[in-house]
Amino acid sequence: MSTRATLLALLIGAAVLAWAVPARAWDDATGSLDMPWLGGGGRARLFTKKSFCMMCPTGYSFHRSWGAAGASGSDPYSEVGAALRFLKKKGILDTWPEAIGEGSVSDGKETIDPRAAPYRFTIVMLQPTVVVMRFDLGALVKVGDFDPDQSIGTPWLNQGVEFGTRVPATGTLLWFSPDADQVPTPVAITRGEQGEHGEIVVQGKTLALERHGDAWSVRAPQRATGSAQRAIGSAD
Amino acid sequence: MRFPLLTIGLVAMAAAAHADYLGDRARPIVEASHAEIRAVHLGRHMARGRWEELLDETLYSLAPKGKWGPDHPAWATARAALAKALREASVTALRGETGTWIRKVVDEHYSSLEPDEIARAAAYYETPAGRTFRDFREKVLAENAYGLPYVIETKSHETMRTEMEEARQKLLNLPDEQTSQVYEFNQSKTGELLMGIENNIIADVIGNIMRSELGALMHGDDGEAIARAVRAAVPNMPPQSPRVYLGTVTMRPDRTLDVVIEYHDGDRLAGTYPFSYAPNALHWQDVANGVPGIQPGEKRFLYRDPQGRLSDKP
Repeated sequence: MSTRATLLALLIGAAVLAWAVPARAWDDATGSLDMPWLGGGGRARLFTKKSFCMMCPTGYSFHRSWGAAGASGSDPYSEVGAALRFLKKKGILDTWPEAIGEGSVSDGKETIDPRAAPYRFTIVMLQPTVVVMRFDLGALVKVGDFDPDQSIGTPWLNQGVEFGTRVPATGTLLWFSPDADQVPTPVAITRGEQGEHGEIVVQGKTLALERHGDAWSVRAPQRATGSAQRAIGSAD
Repeated sequence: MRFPLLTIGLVAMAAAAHADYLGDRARPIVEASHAEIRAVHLGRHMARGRWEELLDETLYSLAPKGKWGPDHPAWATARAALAKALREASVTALRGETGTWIRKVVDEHYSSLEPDEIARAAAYYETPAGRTFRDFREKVLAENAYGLPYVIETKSHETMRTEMEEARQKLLNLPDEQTSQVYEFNQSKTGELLMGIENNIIADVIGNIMRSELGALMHGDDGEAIARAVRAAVPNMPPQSPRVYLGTVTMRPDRTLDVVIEYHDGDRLAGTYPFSYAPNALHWQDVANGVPGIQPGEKRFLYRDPQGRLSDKP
């Protein structure tokens, strides 16, 4: 057998082997994390997976996915990037100053100038993505409690984007949804005898916010009533 | 496994041997010119701005701006106590790793001279003329850096000024032959090269090392002990606050609120974020809640408590 034929056989063998090796399953890494709601019902779960990567310095690549299942979920980093790219496209991101000392970052596709926003961002629902923005001047200078396990880093901001169903009850709340083409708008708050309540209606789903002491708790999404859908102009 | 370990070992040995080689090569001129202490004084001089900034920033980290400042009765005493504690820590650092780095910088740059230049310069510094010049230069640098970290003087500033003046007079009144020697050496290629290395390269590099190391002192293991020492020495300084200073709020005549948030990074003011909120803006009330009763033309400090609430009370 010639050297060329041997090499070819080896290459074919390697390709067949790579094809035949079953893809490693996703591991559920949710643990005690406070995960966002899913528009289709229930909480999202966080999944992780390592896969072989010949060109990676570590020899493997690490994947994360959130949703109902690993395979059907989306990459949190990409999800956060898409949400902030939406704000950029709508001209909102650039109304905030460039973050001091953060330089410019390239994500391979574009050059990003990280922004300093006077808000904390929390993803409270996926599919469709809903992000709550809480006014907090401390966010500009990275002051305040921050749980790295409950956040996703992003080059778009000088802070991470948090996720979960609890939001401190300080500062006016806004929300936006790239999936519903909804730019930031104040969360509708009502104050009654039962306390304060907030409501976010998006694509036929209502997210209720209930205030408990110093925090807002985001309740599971419910099907929106007709009037609520008409009032908000749902994309459904 | 053995091979990588052996490789690492050989690389480490080679690096150490290289450092030894530079040190051996530079030693005659480094020792004869007292290059190391001159480098320390030059570095201290270069770090002066950072030192003053660090003292103020550190005091504001012990109690926030608005609770106190240069006009507060305890400020000057606390600043002196902080300076003392930081200087002691800096001297300890100089005896350790900081000192090693300085020695390496000095060795590396002085060894760049040719061996005959090193010999000529070392010989000059051993002459009465060279020693008089060296003594004056050393005293000028030491006097200039008086009170700064990395050295704790045992003499008063006044005494050091007097000694510097005596050294100046001695240099100015050298016998003619020795005066010529001083001029000739300092205007020779070697003399100019040495002065250039000292005033430009060494001063810059050691200054950078010292600026960086000073900033690290409060954030290292010593930081808490230094803070405790300052509080113990100055009982009337304001207590620590759970609120963090953010910046200022000013109300315009039309009641627009101008907010300036200060971003401090690495114990220095890195920049500010200005925002304006008109009375009909969404977040005007958020800010106004933190500065109750603010009137047009008034300016107040702004703080944030751990829960994220704004306040004008430190």
